[in-house]
This record gives sequence, structure tokens and C-alpha cells, in this order.
Amino acid sequence: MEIEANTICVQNKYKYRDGLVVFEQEGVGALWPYRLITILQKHLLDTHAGRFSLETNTPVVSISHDENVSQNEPGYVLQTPRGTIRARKIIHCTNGYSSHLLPSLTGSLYPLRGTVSVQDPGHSFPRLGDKYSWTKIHTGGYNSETRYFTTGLYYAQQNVKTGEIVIGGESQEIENLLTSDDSQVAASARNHISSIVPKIFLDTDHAKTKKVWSGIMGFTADNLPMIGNLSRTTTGRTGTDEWIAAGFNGHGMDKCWLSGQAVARMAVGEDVPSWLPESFLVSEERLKACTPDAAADGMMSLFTDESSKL
Amino acid sequence: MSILISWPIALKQQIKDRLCLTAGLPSAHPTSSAWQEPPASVATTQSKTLSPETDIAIIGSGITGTSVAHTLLNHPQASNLRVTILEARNACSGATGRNGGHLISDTCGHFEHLVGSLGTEEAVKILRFSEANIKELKTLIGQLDEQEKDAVEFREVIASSTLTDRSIVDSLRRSLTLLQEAVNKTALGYRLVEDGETIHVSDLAGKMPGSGDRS
Repeated sequence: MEIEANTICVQNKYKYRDGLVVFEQEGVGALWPYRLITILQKHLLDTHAGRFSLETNTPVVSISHDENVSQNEPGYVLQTPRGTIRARKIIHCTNGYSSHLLPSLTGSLYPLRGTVSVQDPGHSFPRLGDKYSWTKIHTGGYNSETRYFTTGLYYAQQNVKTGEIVIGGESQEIENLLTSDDSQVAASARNHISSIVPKIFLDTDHAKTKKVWSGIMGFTADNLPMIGNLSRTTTGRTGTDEWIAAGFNGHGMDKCWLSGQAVARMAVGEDVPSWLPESFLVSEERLKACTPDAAADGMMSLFTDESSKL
Repeated sequence: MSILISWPIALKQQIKDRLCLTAGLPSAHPTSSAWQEPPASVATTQSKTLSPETDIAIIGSGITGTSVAHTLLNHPQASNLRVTILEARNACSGATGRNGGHLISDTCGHFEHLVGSLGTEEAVKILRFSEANIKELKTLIGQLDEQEKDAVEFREVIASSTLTDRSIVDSLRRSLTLLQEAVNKTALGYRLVEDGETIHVSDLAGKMPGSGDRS
């Protein structure tokens, strides 16, 4: 496929090396999410110290439900290495890790490991991070020789203070993509992201990769988030007060805050908010259709042209 | 006759085999994300001892879990509820602390597919939901003090996407057409700019003709 010769608009303004068109979204942003969320957590701790605690490094190892407690007592028992804590309600905000405590979600809501890096674009690349962010999208593919999946999606922003680029994107083997382990970056993924900047941008021939890390996203078999109450069949436990807001398919920043708000309100007895898309609600019926087969089909059509032949 | 299984079938089976693995706990030794340096003051916060009981246990301290806590603690009918976030690792060490740091919508690019699978009404609802989320986060950031705003480094930007495959461009064009037909105006601006003899512009932010506000 030929890439048409580029003109002023694509090249000079955004510094892309190639493209047939540029799609622009206005009114959106770039930020430091970790700082925003931890600042909000600090505010909550300062304001509600009496009834709110944030227990870090306290993994929930298992959950059980005690049917025999009276109505006024909390029936859920959560085991952690620091001891047991009982609760009346549980809200799973565990995204790609959700199946760990909800094994029936295995194959329906699954972890997918992404790769992000910080790179110095070099002196020739201008400072544009206060005006633009960048994405490159091309058809993904599977290479049966290398066994790499390439998603065909790259996303980048530029730090205004340092000029450094934060860029993410994938090309790696399936066993490195489909994992809940962010203690590693596969060599394939690292090599790919470390060489991609000059391929996407002009004036970045001397780009240097400073750091690469991985992170676990939560994908769903039908590519929609899962929000709402979890049935006994789904939890495998006797209680009825487990809830979930998870599975944002690698694009959560424009969905998570109101998803959390919706599930919180539902958990304290409100009706489903009218603004919440019904297709996001979790149900047994929906989960029945979210089979590993459906999930694999979804992934195949995402990354190859082969799904229709299967 | 060849007895080799064609690669798509073998590949799909390999995918299914991986999908059928239940997730583990978050790794105790994750790769180091630049976003988490320096660590926030709450990064390793804990009560001295774990309370034996709470009303609502939230598992996960990323953006979703934090929003749940924020909503519960500010809820007028829940002013006595005890809320506990249980986080396996350091605060916000999952996807929220590792992503690309973008606040953009992906609904427009998926609009054709969403209309096809869910219908126009639901596709529009998803668009509105995405735009409302972005607006809400901007509002929250606007309420921070100057030092906090400086730390969060929020910039309102034009999010540009370069598309290099004609099939993807055509799909986006169809999505934009469907979007134009479905809504009068959008909270965000969406524009397709094509080099060559004509520049195709589909700017939906308040400039579309129509019979009143259908939002």
C-alpha cells in the first residue's frame, strides 16, 4: 500500500512522518494521572479520616461469605496477609486482575499487558506538548514467522517541562501480551517501542529511550466495560452484595470516573443512573456470551484479517 | 494432503489457552513506571493495624476505586458508612499509574461499529458518557490548588491521530457521517483533515444545522 506524499498539514504541524489523513479531537487533554488520583486520595484521607482508610500493600488473597451472620453484621470475609477484614459490600475495581477473586470471569474479563516508555526525542524535535498529543493508527497484524502481534496503535504525549515523549504501543508474542504479570517487559516489546519514535515522527533520528515499563489492562470479550451487581452464580459465593466496575479495554481515562460513580451509587441502593450506557451493565446473560471463544474472535479481528475464516 | 494446521486455527487456540488462565495477584515486583516517581505521599499508606470490619470494601486503588470512594464518602445518604480501599501494592500502581496519560475519547473512531452492534441510541449514549467523563475530570482538576495543578501538569490539547491505512480512514469517515446524522452537537470537536486538493472538515462542535438540540 502506498503512502501518499505528505504535505504541510500532516508533517509540519504535528511532525508525523507519514499519514493519509489526520484526525483531530479538540477539547481533550494530557496529564499525569498518577498524581491526580493520589492527590484525590490524600484529600479523601484528610477529609474523612474517621471513616476512610487506604490500605496499601494489603492484597486480598481470598473472599468468603458467611451466611450465618445476622442482617446487621458484615457477612463478607476478606483474607489479607495483615489479617481478616469483614465487609457488608465489596466493590471490585481490579480491572485486568478481576478474575483472581472472581474466577468465573476468566476468559470474559482478561488481562492484557501493555508497554509504555519515556524517550528523549533529541534536540531537533520541537516543544509541542502544551498544544498537541499524538496517535498513530495502522492495521494491526500477526506475523507467523516472528509470532508477534502488532496492535497498530501508538499513543504519545510530550512533557512540557522536560520535552520528553511518553509513548506506548505493542508488538510482541501472544504469551507476552496475554498475561497479568507486569514484572517484565518482553524483549520483543522493548525492542519495538525503543525503535518506533523515528518511524512515527520527523526530526527524531537521535531519539533515546530512557525507560520502558509494562502495565496490565483489562479487556472484555465484548469490548465493553463491566459495571454493576454480581450474581451468586458469578461470584460463586452466597452473598448478593458484590459489585464491579472493571474491564476498560485499554481506554479507561474517559470512562472510569463515572463508572466508579455509577457502581458506588448502585451499591448504596440507587437506581442505575440514566446516563450509564446499558451495554456496560454486567449480567449473567451478558457473561454467558462473553466466552473465551468470543474473546479470541475479538482479538483475532483486532489483530489479523483471519477471524472471518474461522 | 497437508496435515499442517493452518496458523489462524493454531493461533486462535493459543489465544484461547492464554485467555483461560485466571489472573494472579498483582506482581510483587512490578516494572518501574516513570509516572510513579517520585512516589506520592500516600504511596505506601496503611492504618497501623487493619480494622477487623468495614462497611464497604473497595478492592483496587486506581482511578475507578478512587472514584468509588469519592462518591461514597460524599454521598448524602451514606454519611456514616465506613469505606476501606484494599490495594495489593502501592497506591495507584496499576493501569492508572502506567498508562499514556491521555484524556481523550475513543468513541468517535468506534462509532460505526457501535451503531452496528448496539444501535444508534446506545452509541450516542456511549459518546455522551465518554465526553461527560472528560468534562468531569477537567472539573476535578480545576478544583485543585495551584501547587496540585502544577503537579498534575494537565494541558488541554488537540489530540491528533495519523492514519496510514485507507481502510481505517474509510471506516472513520463512515463513523463521522453516522455521528453527524445522529447528533446535533458534541461536547468535543472532531475533525478529519485530508491532504491533497480538498481538506475535508467535519467539525461537529456546535456548527451543525438541525432541528433543535437533540442532546
